[in-house]
Amino acid sequence: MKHNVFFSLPGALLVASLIVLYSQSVVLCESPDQLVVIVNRNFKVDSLSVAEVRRIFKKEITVYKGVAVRPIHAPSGSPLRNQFLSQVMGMSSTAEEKYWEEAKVKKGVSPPIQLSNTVRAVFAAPGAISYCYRKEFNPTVAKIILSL
Amino acid sequence: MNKRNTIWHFSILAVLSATLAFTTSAVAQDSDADAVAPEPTLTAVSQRLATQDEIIAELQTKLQQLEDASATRDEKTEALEEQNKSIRAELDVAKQERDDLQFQVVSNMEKNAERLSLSGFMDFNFMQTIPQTDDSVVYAGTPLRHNSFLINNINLYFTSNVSGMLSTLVEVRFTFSPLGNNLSLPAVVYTNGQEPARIGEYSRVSTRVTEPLGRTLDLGGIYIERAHFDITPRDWFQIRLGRYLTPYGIWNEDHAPTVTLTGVMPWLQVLQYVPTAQTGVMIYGQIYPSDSIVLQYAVTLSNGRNPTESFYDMDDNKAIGTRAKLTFSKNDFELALGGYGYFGKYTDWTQEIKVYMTQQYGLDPNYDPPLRTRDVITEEYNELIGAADLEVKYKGIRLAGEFVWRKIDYKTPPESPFLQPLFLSNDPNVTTYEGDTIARSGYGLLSYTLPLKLESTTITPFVGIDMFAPDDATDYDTWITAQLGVNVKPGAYVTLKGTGYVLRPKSDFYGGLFSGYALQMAVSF
Repeated sequence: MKHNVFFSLPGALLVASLIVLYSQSVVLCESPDQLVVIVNRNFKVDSLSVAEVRRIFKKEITVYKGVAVRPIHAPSGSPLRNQFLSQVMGMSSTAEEKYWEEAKVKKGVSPPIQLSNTVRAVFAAPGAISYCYRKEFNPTVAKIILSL
Repeated sequence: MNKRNTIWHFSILAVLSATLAFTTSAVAQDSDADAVAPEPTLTAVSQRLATQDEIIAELQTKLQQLEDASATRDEKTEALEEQNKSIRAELDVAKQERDDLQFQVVSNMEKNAERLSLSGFMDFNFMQTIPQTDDSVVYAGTPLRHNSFLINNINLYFTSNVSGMLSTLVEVRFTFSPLGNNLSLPAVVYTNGQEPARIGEYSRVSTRVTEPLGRTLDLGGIYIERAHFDITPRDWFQIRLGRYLTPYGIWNEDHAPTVTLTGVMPWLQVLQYVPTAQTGVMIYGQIYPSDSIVLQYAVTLSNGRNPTESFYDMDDNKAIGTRAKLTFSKNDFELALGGYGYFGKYTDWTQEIKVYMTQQYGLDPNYDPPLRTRDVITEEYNELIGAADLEVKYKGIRLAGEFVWRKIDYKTPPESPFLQPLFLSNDPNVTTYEGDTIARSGYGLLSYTLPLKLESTTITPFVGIDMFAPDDATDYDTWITAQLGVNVKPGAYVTLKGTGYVLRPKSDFYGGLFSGYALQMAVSF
């Protein structure tokens, strides 16, 4: 009779480990403090990569699929903004300030606007893209295009 | 009954039980005491019972009072909870209104900024060039003979986002030029060391005017660095119309002293082997084949290079250029490699009116029309330019370099520069003309941003080498510059630079080595 891995002790341990890992990953993904990137519900985009979001917030990408995108930042110095800079932009707030100084001089480009209630701002502005904590997300006013 | 009432009742019962227990114990103790005492009488027991009844009645009264108080508290608590809910609801409404207002305010600010945004930068310098000999010919035409304070750039940006896909940018530079520019330099020619012959006269631009009220002013100038519309239907296809910075190299687009590393401009920028800016159309864009790769391109069509190109063209030939740039970035590593090719025709001419007349000073009817114009081409050449740039960044290390190659084929060559025949051992009194040339220039800068744990200050020492050779036919005019300096940024908007440099001309005609320094403070606003 062929040995069935799922009924052996190592098999059982493996299955148990997988269940634990899966449950942990589900917990992590659904953490209320998890950062999510959100867009206006009318924005015909379902998902973006981290690199695309980074380019939009650097204003390297200004038009996405024919729509003028409008990045909206959380207030400078806020924990939300700092988390976004770290996880998506890969830069510190000081480095971000220098980036915009250079962009202004080279291309005449200004940094994105900043608002405290990013969810509401995304709801109100067509083409808007921003971010918030999952616990603050409201599916009736915006949609998630990237979970971090 | 709610939880709080239950707790109250239990508390009261506990107090009551304790009191009863104490009383019972006291009674027991009394009984023990009475064990040795005579048996109590019925009257005494009755008195005790009456006392107990009083105690119980008193406790019941207290219990009733506590229950009444508890009920009052419950009512108050419920009222407070109601009030709390109401305040919370008002707070939510107020927060929502605040967010709406904030959004409106910021949107209006953004709209105003989109309509017109003003920014800029300015620098302040202290610099000097010091040749080995006091009478070096390099001093001819340079204002940096003496150490001098100098404001070189006062640039203002006017930007506007007319709509999501249409924007404008105007960059204007205010300058004290042309005040003090040398117009012509005389030459005092010694033949065999004797009998000097003076050729030409010295003249310098003066912009000094006296106002009607008597105050004397030195007028400055305004230079339009760039002024263009940008139409952005897609990121990979954008159109720029107007006067734009030529999309080549690194320095040309950085160009602001708050961004550039060193205070000494590279030779290829000074000599403008590639036109710094062009007037015409540019199609450009970028695509992203992967998360770590960006491909950028640009095609330029412009008036090209001629004495009036920023305003109008002097021939029908348009200059065409193409730019391609690849950027690869992963974690702390970034590599950017770019190239630009340009082909254009330079034309300069004068005009004259041709008049066909009869001997009686009337217009000659044999010529129709008798009044005509004629263009006299004074200089004409085709130029082919190739430029390459490389930038590598890893953590704090940055290596940046550019190289330009420029080939000129004359159709109508101009006269040679004033002193050139002397270098060629020709007679200065014989007019010579420029020949076809290939010019080259390139520079490299290596820098390292120190890993200091400072809040927002960066300190970046750098070394660099720079060269130019304007003519491959004659190698006497090849120059090499070595520089060493430090760039300090106390914040994003302020840059301090100190640069020392040494120049070595290949020819001994210039009197050996030169050294110099440039201290610069630049601020953007």
